[in-house]
Amino acid sequence: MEINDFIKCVAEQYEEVDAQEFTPETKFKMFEEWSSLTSLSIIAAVDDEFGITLKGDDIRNATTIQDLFEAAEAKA
Amino acid sequence: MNVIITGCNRGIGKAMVEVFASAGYNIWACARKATLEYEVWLKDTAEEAGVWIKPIYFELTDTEAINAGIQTIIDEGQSIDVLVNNAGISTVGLLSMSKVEDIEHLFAVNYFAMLRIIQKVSKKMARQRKGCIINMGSIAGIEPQPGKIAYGSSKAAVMMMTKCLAKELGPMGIRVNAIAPGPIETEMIHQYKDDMLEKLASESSLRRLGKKEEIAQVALFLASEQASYINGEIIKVDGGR
Amino acid sequence: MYNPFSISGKTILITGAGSGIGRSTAIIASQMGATVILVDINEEGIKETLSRIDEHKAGHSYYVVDLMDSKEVESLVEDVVCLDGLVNNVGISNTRPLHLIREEDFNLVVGLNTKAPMILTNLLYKKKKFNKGASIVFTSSLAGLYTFTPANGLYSLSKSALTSYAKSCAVEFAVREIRSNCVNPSMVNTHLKESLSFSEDEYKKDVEKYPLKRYAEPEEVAKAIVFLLSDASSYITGHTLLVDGGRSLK
Repeated sequence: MEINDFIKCVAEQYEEVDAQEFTPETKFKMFEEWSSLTSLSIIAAVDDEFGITLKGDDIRNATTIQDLFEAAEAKA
Repeated sequence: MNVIITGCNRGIGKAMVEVFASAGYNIWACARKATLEYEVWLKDTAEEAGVWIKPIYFELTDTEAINAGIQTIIDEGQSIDVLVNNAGISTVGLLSMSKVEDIEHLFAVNYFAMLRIIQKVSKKMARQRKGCIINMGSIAGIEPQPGKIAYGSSKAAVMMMTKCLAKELGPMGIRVNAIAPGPIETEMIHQYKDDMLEKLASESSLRRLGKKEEIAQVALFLASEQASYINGEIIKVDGGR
Repeated sequence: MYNPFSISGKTILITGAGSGIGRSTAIIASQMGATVILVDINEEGIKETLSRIDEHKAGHSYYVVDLMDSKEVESLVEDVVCLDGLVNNVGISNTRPLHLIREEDFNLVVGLNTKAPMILTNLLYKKKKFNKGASIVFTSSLAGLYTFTPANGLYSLSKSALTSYAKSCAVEFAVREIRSNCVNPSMVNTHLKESLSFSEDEYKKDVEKYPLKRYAEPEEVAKAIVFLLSDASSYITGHTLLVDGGRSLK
């Protein structure tokens, strides 16, 4: 799993934010459109793309995409 | 456990008294007026079940009488665990043949009297932080029928009142629900001719009319701890229509 | 003592009896006098349920069955005694947003929540395994009926189809005096633990939508199921009994 693929996967779950804006340091829950639906979308998309099942807690405990990536890697 | 039941002198109300008494409830049995037969029956029922049953009398069109009757109950200082608003009247009539004054009378009995009783009793229940209110709705308030404009609308109003109150009183620990019976075998239904009764029976999946006890037992269920999470629900007891 | 809610002497089959609402239903049904037949895919779960049922009342039994496997269902129906009650309780949740639902999700969720109860019920009826006056209860949901929440579309769809099927049973099976009803719970404290993403804040916000200001305990849903199994509900069929603390009113 590459960080760039992971970022792309996360970015695709946003409607309003330009994909170019996302970096490992992006605080992905700070966007106005963030909701529980975005959270569930990320969980499902990461599962589909990388076969890794994130939990709600992983999302809650992460601040940046890098945090989330590391949580995913720990489960890989 | 103590319950107020209205309309106890006949039909479903009578079955309610028997069912609630058998289940160990003490009852304030409300009816329009005292008769010897009624009081003897209440006394026998109470003795047999080992509970107390007190007759309370008021006309549902008489505001002062309603207030006085309910106040008598409240003044006893006992807990009021359940209120069953069963009393009501039924009419059939096409709009062209109905007088608005008669429909107003029907609403006074079926809707406003109920509202008045709930207003007083729910204050007491709110102080108890506990209570259960069961209102008698009807399938006529769900399924539109020609000739049921007055009765159907009054019961629809009762069921909407039930849902509003469930929201309003729920946070105080008071559950409010309604029962919507289909056609039930009572004295009241024998105003219909036999072929009409057959038609009514055939409209239900179970191909029969309901029994009074089948309504009373649903009320007993709603009153019980078994229904502790049921609030704002209208239980249809209609044999499947 | 007069007790119209007793189900003494009745034989009740319960699917999904190895956990949650199914387990509570098995316990309460046995307390109310019924002989229960427990069905679940998870043998450990069933045994745990059995251990909580009063051991002195003999006659309870269980089957380890994958209800998605039609061969296994056929042999269950072949083997089982005639029933006074069936609780179609088995179910699975799914929290994928619509656009991320895969065909395999659909097949699993609709397969277990809708198709499995339908196949089991139809077969029991066909093989005349329901006694006259039997009662069928489906654990459906408020979802798909009154509430439509994000990422719950597949679950809602499967449960609203189940609710519809329950009503069709009421119409068709009435000739044998069989009743069919649903209980439709809102959030139950079992589901919460399974739920993928529910923070404490979200919980507090959600529970505010309930006039009773709390979620249901599985026992409270089970007690409503047991009421529908009892003769106290003998004129109730085709009904969706909301056990939601008033949630549907919002």
